[in-house]
Amino acid sequence: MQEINQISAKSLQGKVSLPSLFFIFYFLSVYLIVNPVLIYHGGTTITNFPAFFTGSDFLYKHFANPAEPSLYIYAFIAQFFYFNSTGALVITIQAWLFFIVITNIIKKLNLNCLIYLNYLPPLIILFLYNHYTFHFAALNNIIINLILFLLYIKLPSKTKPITMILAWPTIYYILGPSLAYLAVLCLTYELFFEKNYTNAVLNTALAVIAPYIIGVGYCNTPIKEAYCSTFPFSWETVSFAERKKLLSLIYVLYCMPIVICLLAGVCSIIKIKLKKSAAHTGKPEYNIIAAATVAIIALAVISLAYDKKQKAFFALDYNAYHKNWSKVLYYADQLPFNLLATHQATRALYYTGRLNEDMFKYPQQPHALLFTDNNILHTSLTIFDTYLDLGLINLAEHYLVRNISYAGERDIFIQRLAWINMIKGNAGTAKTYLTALSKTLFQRGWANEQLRAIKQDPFLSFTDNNEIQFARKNKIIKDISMSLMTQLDYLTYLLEANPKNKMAFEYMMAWYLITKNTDKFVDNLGQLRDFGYEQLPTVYQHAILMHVYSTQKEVNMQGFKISPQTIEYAKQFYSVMKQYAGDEQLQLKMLNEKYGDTYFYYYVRKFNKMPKFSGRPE
Amino acid sequence: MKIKTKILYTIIPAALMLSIAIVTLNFETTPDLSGSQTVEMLPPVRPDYSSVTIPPNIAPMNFNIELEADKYFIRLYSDTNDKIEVISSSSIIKLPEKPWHKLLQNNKGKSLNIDIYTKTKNNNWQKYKTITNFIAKEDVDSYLFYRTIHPSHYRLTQNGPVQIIQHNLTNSKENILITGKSYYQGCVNCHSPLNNKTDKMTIGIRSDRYGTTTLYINGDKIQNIAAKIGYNSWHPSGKIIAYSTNNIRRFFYSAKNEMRDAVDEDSMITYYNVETHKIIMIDEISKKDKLETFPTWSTDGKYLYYCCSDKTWDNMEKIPPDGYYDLKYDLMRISYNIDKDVWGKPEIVISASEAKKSILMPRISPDGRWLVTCMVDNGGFPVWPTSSDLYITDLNKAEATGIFNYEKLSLNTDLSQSWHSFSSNSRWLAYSSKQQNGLFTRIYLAYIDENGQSQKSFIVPQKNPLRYDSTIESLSFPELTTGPMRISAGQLAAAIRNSNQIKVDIPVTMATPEEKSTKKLPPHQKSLTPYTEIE
Repeated sequence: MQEINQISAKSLQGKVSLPSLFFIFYFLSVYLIVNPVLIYHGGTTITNFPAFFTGSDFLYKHFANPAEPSLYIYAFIAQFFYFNSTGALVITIQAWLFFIVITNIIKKLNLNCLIYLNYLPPLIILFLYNHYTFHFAALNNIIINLILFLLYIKLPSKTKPITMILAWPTIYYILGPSLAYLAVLCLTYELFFEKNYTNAVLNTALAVIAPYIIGVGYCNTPIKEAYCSTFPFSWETVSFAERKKLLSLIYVLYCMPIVICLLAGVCSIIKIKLKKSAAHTGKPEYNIIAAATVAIIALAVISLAYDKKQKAFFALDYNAYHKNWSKVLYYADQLPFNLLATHQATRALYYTGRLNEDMFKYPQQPHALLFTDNNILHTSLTIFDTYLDLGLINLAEHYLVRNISYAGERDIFIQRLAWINMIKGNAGTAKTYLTALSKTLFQRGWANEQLRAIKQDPFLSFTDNNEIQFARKNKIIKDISMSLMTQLDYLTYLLEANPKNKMAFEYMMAWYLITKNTDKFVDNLGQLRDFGYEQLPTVYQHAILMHVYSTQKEVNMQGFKISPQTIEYAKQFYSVMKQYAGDEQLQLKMLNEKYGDTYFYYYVRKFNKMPKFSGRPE
Repeated sequence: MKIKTKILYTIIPAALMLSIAIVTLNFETTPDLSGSQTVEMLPPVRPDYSSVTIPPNIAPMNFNIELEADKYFIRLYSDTNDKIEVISSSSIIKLPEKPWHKLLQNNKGKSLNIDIYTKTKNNNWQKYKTITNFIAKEDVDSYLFYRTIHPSHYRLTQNGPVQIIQHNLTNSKENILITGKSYYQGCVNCHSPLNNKTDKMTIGIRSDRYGTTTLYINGDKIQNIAAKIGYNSWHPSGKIIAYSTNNIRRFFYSAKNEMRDAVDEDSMITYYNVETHKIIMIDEISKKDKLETFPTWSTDGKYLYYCCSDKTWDNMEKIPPDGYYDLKYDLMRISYNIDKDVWGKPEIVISASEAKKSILMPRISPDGRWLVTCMVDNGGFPVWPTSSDLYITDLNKAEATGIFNYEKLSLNTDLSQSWHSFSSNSRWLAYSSKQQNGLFTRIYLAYIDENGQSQKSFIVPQKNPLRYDSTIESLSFPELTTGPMRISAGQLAAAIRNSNQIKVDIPVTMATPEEKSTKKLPPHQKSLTPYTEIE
């Protein structure tokens, strides 16, 4: 067996090593499965993704307090999540650095029997990202501290005191309170491994004093922030549900190196002679069974970690923002009980010309059409896009500026705010947003282009810009307090401003259908030809039939006809209804099976319990 | 010699010599301007620092020249021999601090001239018309306190918290005095120094975790008062603080360009005794059917000026309530004897019906001569409506004639001006204005002369003159002080979090506004009226 392993090891040595293979596979997993660009977008739940701006103002802001310099660098690196490839690279490098450092720490502490623990942190990191959490700063802090710890344990003992005196305050200023983590690692090492109590005391003293002198004394940081701000238990993390997600795994990553140090120390105290491994003698030993086990675990983690719904939720949001309608519908199909998905599906159906054919394939609810009736507390990118598309410019602006409060001065919000102010003709405000946007990494091109356009057209007439002209045409004119307006009011006033606002019309008709107000629905059939309808859409045919059925009133068809197939379909629906008339539950069940995605079923179904709105996948 | 040492002995001198060479090469002398062509136009500069009156102690007023060129030459000079010359390949001009201060201090009361030359490749220098500013004789107070807030006004800011900034007007250095991040997404609002000094100051705090409190700074001590002290004004004696209690509801317009507005559902004025820690009602200005707000003391402490309107609604089922668009506040005053703690009768100072405006935010100059108010077409929040302008009243003349005439200050623009405060010498007025871009408030300084006339105002200088171009926060609520805060940011944060608060009995009457409305609103009215900060 040993001969086989040695032969395999030799053959492998000449080719790609196992860690390299593992990280290539890792990169591909992140790139293909996680899609870091979804994390960049936030999916309405990641609210701590950092904004980054070039220029001295943003830079100088990050030198006023401890930890800010590192946060500046992390913010810069995080921007590369903007592209899938660079985001996957960043995550892979994070995982790889962790792997390298843990490997070296284990080797340095003569704990080679635990060498394959070095794969655990990358797997945890993959799990964290696969669940669309964003503990980027915490991960980076751990990695950097481990690197510093590794450097520390390689230092000659005599140089450690002077190194600590010079380096610890600097590290505190750059990394902030996470210096304490480095100090705990060094303390453990000195106490249990080196048994150098002088260094241990000096290390502890500096770790306690530096935050007080630099943080509290020099930078005027409140004492709690001076000692705690960058840790997972700081209020900035634990106060927000979305930021607390999978925090336990972050603690595992924090504790793992400490446990390794403690183990090493304990082993050295009781003098257990560990089996000398090839790594200790400098020659790597490839245990095929161990390698295979690691690979299998990695595969299992990815498979298990891949939460289809969570990803669908993020992807839905991302694709709605970028108007990839077919993908919006694809992901909405995977979130059948989510009102936000229904909202986006409705919008996508409109843009693909299928709103009046397929809208009831999704679980429509009155609240989900415009969401103006709900007190939405968390970020939702695409809701403001619906308002923008319809012509509810002020409402879109309101939600966008609120998003900035919740999720920061993100380029994805600022871009929309600049656009809104261009539509409104507010040159000064538009230029301010655009100038800010021109300092971001990946939206600067668009921002500079708009600034040039404004320079040439300072009054923002934009006569050649069809998008802006279209938005201005659709813009609501009725000016009243939005707190007095219902969803129907919004749609009605939009049509008052522009009777040819097709989206507003179709949404209004959808509203009547969703609220089962078929009286109003049939009253507006006369406008269909103005919007280019030559035939009645399927949903409209169903609605007319249900209206006739329930009210027994005639309907002015305005020259349109119900197709014979629809009539036949309606008859079949009716016969099923009659068949199970005595048992309402069974009746609905049978109707749902065959007609669940039709207006027929929607109309007869009673809402015994309104599903709660949740911005998250259910 | 060891290799490392050799390398060190080579590298260090080489680096030094290289640095000297770089500095020498970059050091440019005054260019030859003899052949320069004259351009008969004023050079556009941003911020607009042309034809303004500036204090002699102001920080360097760095600016950007809005002209494309390869080289820029700027000369600043006045009557004395002091001058500043800057040659730059960048259009951003940063003036050296010490020569700037020397130039200004030596030329108080005189003109400050700025000659700007530009040069493109293959062309001669072009000289533009001289920009002439005026250096006032009087300094401005050295420190400015202001608040930063996103236009969203949500205090639940996870990023970009509400902050109070201490800005040194003599060198543009800034410190964050209070940030909401220090106390779990808190908010900070009314900050009010006594007599333009930071020895005594109040700062209003709102925090979900630590409650709505007021920091009372008294020298080196901070006390945390468990009471919400809204818009407030120190009695010049420093013994009492008059303040309003407000119940503000915000709402948004569906189509108006400026979509934000707010209505004070209910308000009244009371006062707090800093020695006895008691809040005392003022029956005359706490009427159930009235809205009383924006108190400010006269300089001699004998009168409390405030704004008052009839409350024409019984409930807030609708936002805004019926009658809101006709809402106009009168400017009132009521006499007060601090020794006897006796109040007089309210009297109208400026009638809203006569002015056809709503009169808000009265502030009186420390010399007692001038009263400046905001006047808007209607409503109680001048920060948003474009009709908000600053008006000045000569109180000396008013006392003599019994008539409070008012005059619109020339510093006004067609956008909102509000939140004004005087310097300790009554010569400078700091105020918030949206004139720069329409949405984001910025802070301006204007000189008020002996006749109550304002000179052209200027935006508070920054080290980076283009900073405002990309700042997507509002900077508002300026207060001028003669010195910096003696309490550190850390101490302030600790005080906010300190559970050891001064408990205050808050008298509750029929006139007391409800802290939060407990009425159930129809579903469609819920989503857009959360409890928020006002800009």
